[in-house]
Amino acid sequence: MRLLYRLRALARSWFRERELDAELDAELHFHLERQTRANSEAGMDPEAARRAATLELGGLAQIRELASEARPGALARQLARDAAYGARLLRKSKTFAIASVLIVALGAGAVTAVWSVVYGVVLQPLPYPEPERLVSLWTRAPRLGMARALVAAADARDWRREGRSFEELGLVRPIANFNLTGAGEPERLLGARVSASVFRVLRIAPLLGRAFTTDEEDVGRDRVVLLSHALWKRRFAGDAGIVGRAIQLSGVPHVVVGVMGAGFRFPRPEFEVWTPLSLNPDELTRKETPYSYAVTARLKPGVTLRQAQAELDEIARRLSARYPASNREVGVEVASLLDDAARPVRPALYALLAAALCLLAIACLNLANLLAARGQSRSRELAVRLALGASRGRLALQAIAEVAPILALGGALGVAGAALALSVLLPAARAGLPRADEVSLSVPVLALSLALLALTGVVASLFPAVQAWRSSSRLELGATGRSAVGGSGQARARRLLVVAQIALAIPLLAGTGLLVRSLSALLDVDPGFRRDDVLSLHLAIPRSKYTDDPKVAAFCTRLLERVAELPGFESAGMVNRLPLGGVPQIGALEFEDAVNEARLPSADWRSVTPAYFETLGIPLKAGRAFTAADDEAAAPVGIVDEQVAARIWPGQSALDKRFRLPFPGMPWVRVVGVVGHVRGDGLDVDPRPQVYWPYRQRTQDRMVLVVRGRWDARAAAATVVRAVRDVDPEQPVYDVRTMEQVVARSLAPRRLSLTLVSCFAGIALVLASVGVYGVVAFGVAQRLTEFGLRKALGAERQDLTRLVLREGMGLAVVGTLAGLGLTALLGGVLEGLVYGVSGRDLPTLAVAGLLLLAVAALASWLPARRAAAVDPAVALRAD
Amino acid sequence: MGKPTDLVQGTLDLLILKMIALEPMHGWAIAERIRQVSKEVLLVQQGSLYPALSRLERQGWISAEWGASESNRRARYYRLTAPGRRHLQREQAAWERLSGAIRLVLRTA
Repeated sequence: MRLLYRLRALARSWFRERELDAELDAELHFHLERQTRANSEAGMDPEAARRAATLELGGLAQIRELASEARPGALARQLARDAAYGARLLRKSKTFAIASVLIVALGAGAVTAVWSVVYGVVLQPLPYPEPERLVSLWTRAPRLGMARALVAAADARDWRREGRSFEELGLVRPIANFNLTGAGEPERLLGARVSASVFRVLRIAPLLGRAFTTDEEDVGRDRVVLLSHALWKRRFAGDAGIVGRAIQLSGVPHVVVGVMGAGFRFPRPEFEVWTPLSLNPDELTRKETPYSYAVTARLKPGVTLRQAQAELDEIARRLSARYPASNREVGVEVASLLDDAARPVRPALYALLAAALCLLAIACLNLANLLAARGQSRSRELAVRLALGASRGRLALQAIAEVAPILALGGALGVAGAALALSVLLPAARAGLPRADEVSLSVPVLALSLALLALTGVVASLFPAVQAWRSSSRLELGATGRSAVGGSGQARARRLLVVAQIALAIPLLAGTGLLVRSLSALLDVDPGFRRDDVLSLHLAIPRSKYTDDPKVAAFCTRLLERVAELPGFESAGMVNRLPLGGVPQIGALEFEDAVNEARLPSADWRSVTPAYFETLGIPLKAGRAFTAADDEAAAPVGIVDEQVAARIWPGQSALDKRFRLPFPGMPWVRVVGVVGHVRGDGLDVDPRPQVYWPYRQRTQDRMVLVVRGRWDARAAAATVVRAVRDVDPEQPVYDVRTMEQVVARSLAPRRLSLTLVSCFAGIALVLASVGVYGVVAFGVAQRLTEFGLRKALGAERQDLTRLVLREGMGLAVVGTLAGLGLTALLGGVLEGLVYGVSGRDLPTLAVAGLLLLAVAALASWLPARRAAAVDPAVALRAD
Repeated sequence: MGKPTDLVQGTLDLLILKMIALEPMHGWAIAERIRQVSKEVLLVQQGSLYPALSRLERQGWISAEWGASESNRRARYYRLTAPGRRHLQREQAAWERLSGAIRLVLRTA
């Protein structure tokens, strides 16, 4: 009841303020009249009666003010008026407005853009019900060269069977190539083979149709498929009738049982089809233990990661004891599925976020500096208002409210800029950024940005607010703006702000320097193959069409023959995994007559055609390359790289030694050649050596064609693809790239970080120099009389220049030293993000410091010139 | 008129509520009535009266309406709301207890 009255009063005072003022006027008017009448009734003459009544009523305006302050929401309305006043001030001084709004926009934009990526990629909950209970499980066997590897099927089964932590556990074979044929162009689709339980783990049902049933995991019943939403729209025009129909996948009809929703991006966004996972019985009996499955599980409610880990450790110990041959020293790691997705990019993203926050801090300090400068020139206004009776608290509050329009404009501009930057940068970053599709300016993103913006505003306006609080009416009224002596404390505070800006700019500059150096170090890394003029394209050769190894190999041979007919052709080869081209094929090896270790826990397994080495320019160090004679009927041969040769048979020739896959009954392979080592995973890592088999003795159905010719590789792409189609019109090709592009792609994330950090550093440098300029120029303007006096007393131009320069450089030196100290502290963190250069690299730090000093010198030289040019007569006459 | 006796803020509120408890009144009449009833001891300044009315309205104790005055002019009439009436009873009881206590102390000490 009372609440109702109060709400009505609030609404009236908020929305109908003008009306209320008019009502109050009318009411006071009535009061005046009534009092006049009462006075005349008491015997006064009409004129005197009116004067007495007016006198008694007192200041109308004051009553109005008091009454209005007593109305509900008075403070908020007052602040809104102050903000509007701030906006009017902005309109009055355009330079200040543009500068301050831009500064806020840059800071807010940088933070919003980077934070939206950090949130979308690292923090945003996964799009499944109760996502915090989802975990992924990894094989942890560092002694076998598997620090964090996929899982063997039998292990996963036993974890599920013996563990009590899991509600459900699903297996995914994350790489499966399908060639979609039928209506339209043949297309290679990336698919995953998944156990039926995966959908129960994720608790996701298809949009149309149903998920897999457990009996569809049996061979023979597994010819069913689930389609991604995008594929369904693209190839089947979103036809709901597709469910129940069969489509041709790699030449085999598969019945579509369902279509997933648009947001289903499991295990990664590029996956478009899912088929049931049927396990080889040998894998379940541990006769073979290929570590080839990604495991996703749902913890029971209330079970923590730590409990699950402890239980699995125990189970892994039992399995080691029970199956020493396969499970000795094989452990397991439980990780939250959310953390897992972002793991590779998290450090770089956090570093970027730190850089953006650094920039925001600089922007905040800069804004504080601008506001302080404005406050200094407005000190008389404050003094007048204080003298007229405004309270100090009121003035301080006003100082804060006046900043609001700057923040609002700058914030809006910054968010718009962030949206623009994201739309440009995200598509470029998609390859290296998991969950890039889920990045958006969502509510939590904007909420934090808004909070940071508010914090910026409060911090930046603290200075003018304190100034307003402390201002005294006596001193400033008497003084003219220029000769004001007050404010030495203010000047000191402004200098401190500039020093802090410089100190924060140094880590950004140094970070840019380090990223440039590490990128150039990476570009200097010899990947072990030549990248110019070579075109690469991927093929998934369907086993349904080329049913056995000889047929697959024959298809490869025909392809190479056809490509060799192209005009300008020089050389072509095929390999099962392209260096720097994605997921490698890794496995253990066993060696004969080894000097040290007879077993390599992991090496790159490569099957190649004879001219592969020549095409990619991989040097032959000893022996020979493969030839056409190394076919199915010939004696098994192999080639090792120089690292294997040096590690297994040091001081001996590797030629005619033998190696094999470490399974009983596998044939020994005689080494006929030694080739150069190649960086397969990335330019910055080199985890494994390589061994090679001839493609006709160890045939693979996923192959990459590399072609070199006297042509522009990019332009030749269409011709080469057509040549593939000539051999088999149904054969799709994918990932068509020049080797230059393949290398560049592996560096794309680093390039992106470098672009962003260097942008931030550039802005920081500009802001810092503006800060130096502002403080020095203001100092010069205040001391113009003094300079004139000095000149009149015989000081030379260069004396004055030096005097001013010294002030600016003093700030710069202190700031730079502090910044270098800060950078040295952060060096350890940077260490992990750079390649081939120390996080505390001295030349880089020196260059960053010198650059800043140079810019600061320039920024203080401009006002110094003005000081030197002062005309003594003018300066002395001015007051 | 002489300098009015300063009124504690809460006291003015209490007086206003009491004045309009019987019938709705406009601002001038409230001040006049307080003057008369207090035998010219309590003089309410307009600078206090109208802000106080605003405040009481905000708190929901009173509500205001325009009406015709005794001389047939438009005047703003304040009336007690139901919550305001209960508030008045509470405040009046509290005041009487307090002033009784003070009187007791002054008389005996």
